[in-house]
Amino acid sequence: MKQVVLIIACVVAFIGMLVLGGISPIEAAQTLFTGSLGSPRAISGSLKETTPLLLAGLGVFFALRAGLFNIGIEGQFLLGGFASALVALAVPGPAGLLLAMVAGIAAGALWALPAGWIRAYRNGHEVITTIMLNSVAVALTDFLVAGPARAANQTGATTATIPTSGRLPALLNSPPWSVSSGLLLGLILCGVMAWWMKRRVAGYELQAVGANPSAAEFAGINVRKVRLNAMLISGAIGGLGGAIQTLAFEGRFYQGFSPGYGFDSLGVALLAGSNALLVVPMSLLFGVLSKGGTSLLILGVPKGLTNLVAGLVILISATIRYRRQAQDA
Amino acid sequence: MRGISKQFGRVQALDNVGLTVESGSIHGVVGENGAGKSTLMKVLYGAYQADSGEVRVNGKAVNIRSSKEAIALGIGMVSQHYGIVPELSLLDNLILGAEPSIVLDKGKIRERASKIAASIGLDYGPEIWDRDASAMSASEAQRLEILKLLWREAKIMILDEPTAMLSPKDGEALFGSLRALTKEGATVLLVTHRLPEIMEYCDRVTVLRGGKWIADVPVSEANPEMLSELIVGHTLTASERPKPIAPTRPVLEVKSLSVARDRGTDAVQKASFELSPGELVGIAGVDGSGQAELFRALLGVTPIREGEMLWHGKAISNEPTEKRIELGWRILPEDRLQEAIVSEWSLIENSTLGLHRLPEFSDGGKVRVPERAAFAQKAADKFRTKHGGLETSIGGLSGGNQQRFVAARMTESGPKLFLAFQPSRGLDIAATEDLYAAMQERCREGAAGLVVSFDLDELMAHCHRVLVMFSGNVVVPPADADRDTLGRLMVGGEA
Repeated sequence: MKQVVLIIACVVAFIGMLVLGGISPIEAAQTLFTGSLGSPRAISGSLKETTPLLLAGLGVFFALRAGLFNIGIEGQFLLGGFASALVALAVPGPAGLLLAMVAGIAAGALWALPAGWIRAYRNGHEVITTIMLNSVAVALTDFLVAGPARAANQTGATTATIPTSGRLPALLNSPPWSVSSGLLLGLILCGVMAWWMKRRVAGYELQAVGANPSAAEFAGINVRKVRLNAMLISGAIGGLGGAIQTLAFEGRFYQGFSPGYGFDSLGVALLAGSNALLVVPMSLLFGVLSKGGTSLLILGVPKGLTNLVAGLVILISATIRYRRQAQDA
Repeated sequence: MRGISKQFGRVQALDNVGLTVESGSIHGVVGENGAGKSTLMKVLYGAYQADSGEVRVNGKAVNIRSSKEAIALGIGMVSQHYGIVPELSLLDNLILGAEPSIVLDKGKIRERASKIAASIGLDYGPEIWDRDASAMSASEAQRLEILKLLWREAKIMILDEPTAMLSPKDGEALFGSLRALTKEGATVLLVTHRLPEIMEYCDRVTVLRGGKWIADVPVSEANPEMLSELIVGHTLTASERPKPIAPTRPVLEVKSLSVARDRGTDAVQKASFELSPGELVGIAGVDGSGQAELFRALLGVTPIREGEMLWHGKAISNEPTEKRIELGWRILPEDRLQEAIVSEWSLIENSTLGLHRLPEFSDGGKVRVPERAAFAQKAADKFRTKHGGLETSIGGLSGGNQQRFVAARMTESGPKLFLAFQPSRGLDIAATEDLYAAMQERCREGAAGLVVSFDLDELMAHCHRVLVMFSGNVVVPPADADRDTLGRLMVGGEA
């Protein structure tokens, strides 16, 4: 119910902003629709946008269930994308592909480690630490890709391009249709996560910590360990998202690798609420908005508009959430 | 109040209830959970609107739509959850929301405040009024709540379970204050579960049951047995106090256990005691004497500073909570909402909170879904928890029903040692008896139990023996200690 209200509010806010920008909402809606869902090409594009949002969204969702707001998913996504590019370039072929995925996962987890540890054992708020780690991640990958990791023959800040044999194969590739196997991985992960939360004792404990940490303590749950692990896994999923972005779509890592997938995914996860399966439609919604938003450029609508909507959603959800917490306290 | 009816959804909370209170009297209102006491009081001070019926104050029909209108008519409620701002001084708390003018003349205010305090026999000078409210004890906070009503010139005061958190001595002092007030024409409405209070201090008593008016009798013509029967609607077989058990090899030994507070003095100071198998031991004491900290330390939620705990002779102090639960330790924590349940979860999910890793409910890390559902059903049935389905969230249940459910989670999960903090909180007489019966049964099967309660009579009626906690110290009273002795120990006196 809350989700439906939020989605409607989201669409209304989007149209409202278009009107503010002096653009006919009907024309805009038409462009948005044809640009995102109007043709096989457009749909393929929307699905491509959906993939990183789905993975990063699952990462954020996982931490949220443990009561942690992992704003650092953007940084974990970047590090994952970068690490997998390095490994895929160093080790050719399918073995390299597998290793690159593992490297992405490890890099994401590593990047979440400080925030998780500080939250679990020093009670430093994860929102603060992950925001800081995001800045470091952007600066660090920018530096590395402009310097040590830059491809020899390139003038721009980018790694070399990974050969096709080292990339994630497409699930469907018959132009104009194209769907990456990365999306399938995301869907599988989502299903596994939903099952895990409902049926595994560890999932039960994770959500107990998220919903009532002091009751979790009385229930014999090691709250600190759960928090640290939740943050690590969340980061790992973010890193996997980055790796898939590199290995399925980009084929390299470069400055400006993520147009803010991590931040949009915060909105995805918040909208999904308590149900992992809802991450799929929510990431699809954001993917469509993002792809459609690109088409809106023709009408003079800046690309940032979709981010604005995502920001609004986050603001509203966070307000509801923390208001409730304050009332409970 | 005449013919008051009030319906919530499909539940008839009040059905044509009448209540006549003479001015200048202390009038008791008794009944089980859900009898309608609280609802009736809430109608009187404007928190609820009655569906039908009329309220007359001093003979005049009135329509009370908010607590603001109630206080304007001189009706005030002393809340159970004290509405006190700890950062402000006593005086500021007193006048908060009822300031006499925009610019405050503290001298004048203090003068009137002290006069009011004197009317209930308190000698409050400036040095007391300027103290921070956070430094107050539970009984002082209670008195401040009464003073707040007097400041607002309340003539009819409603008190809901006012002695729940007080020592017997503070309870007596409170009733002394109330007596003084009624002499000056004030009227007191007392909602309570404790019949001795009715017998000792009230002039009349009204009994409600299932939302209906049952009886209204002068206390001079009543006795506790008759009131209990009126309250539950049938004869109660008074449970006999269990005889002390001859100590055998203890299951639990606690040796000079100290627990640190956040800062400053220890919350528990060198506590030493033993539990024999089959023993149900009460811990009496005023709220905040260290009982909560002792329980937390026993369960391993709070680290201990020094001392040790032995379970069947083996040191257990370094084992995590999870391990203790595995050994059969169960707890009914102090703060139900914060420590015992996840409000937004269903009854089924809550039924195994803390038990979820036991082999009965976990198959190598996989939740045993059918077993969990079956246990939830058993726990809900045990003390007749009223619920709208085991799949619905536990937060939607009334406090008393939540308590029934979490109490059953403790007694029905094969405990070897159970720690019950205020187990009867929010429960009526019948449910309280059932719960103690279940705990006693577990003890007959060989378990040992520790029960904290602020109600000495409750402990004396149900436990094999009673320990006392005062200011962090556990006192083991002599075996023949009577009620007066225990009461003295509760406030730091000598046996």
